[in-house]
Amino acid sequence: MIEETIISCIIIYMVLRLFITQNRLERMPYLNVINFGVAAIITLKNPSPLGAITSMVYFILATVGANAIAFTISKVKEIEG
Amino acid sequence: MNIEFIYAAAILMIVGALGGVLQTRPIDKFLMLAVLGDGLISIVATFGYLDVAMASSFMTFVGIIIMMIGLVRVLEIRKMRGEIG
Repeated sequence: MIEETIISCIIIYMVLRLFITQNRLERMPYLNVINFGVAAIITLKNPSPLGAITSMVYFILATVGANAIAFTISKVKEIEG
Repeated sequence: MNIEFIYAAAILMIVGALGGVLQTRPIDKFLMLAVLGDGLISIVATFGYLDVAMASSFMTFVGIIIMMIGLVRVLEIRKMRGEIG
């Protein structure tokens, strides 16, 4: 159970930093850390083939979504500035 | 001392909802919406409903993409009318 505690502490610390930070580009690595931790916890809590498939699907979709958010940040900066 | 992951997922959802209310720029709201979706998926997967977690992962992804496309379109139309920039 020590791994669950470690990942929970990392996720809580990262979500607090993501809430406090004001710069928009500095927020994206924190979101990626949260995604990695959630994908790890899904497999740790459900040690079965369906758990592995769920973790893979979540990991791929979250990575593509974070890329979409970063692309939109650069697009909005290009439009506004 | 042992911290359960359910508390971390609840903190994810609470911080996501508070950030969606309190932050002012649209992209910050979308990022906090992504955090809220992460909390939802993790708290569903912790209780063992893996198919629901898979489906809600796909739905939050598609919703974020569609709202991003809408935001970029709105800003382009505003710039074309000369309201910003």
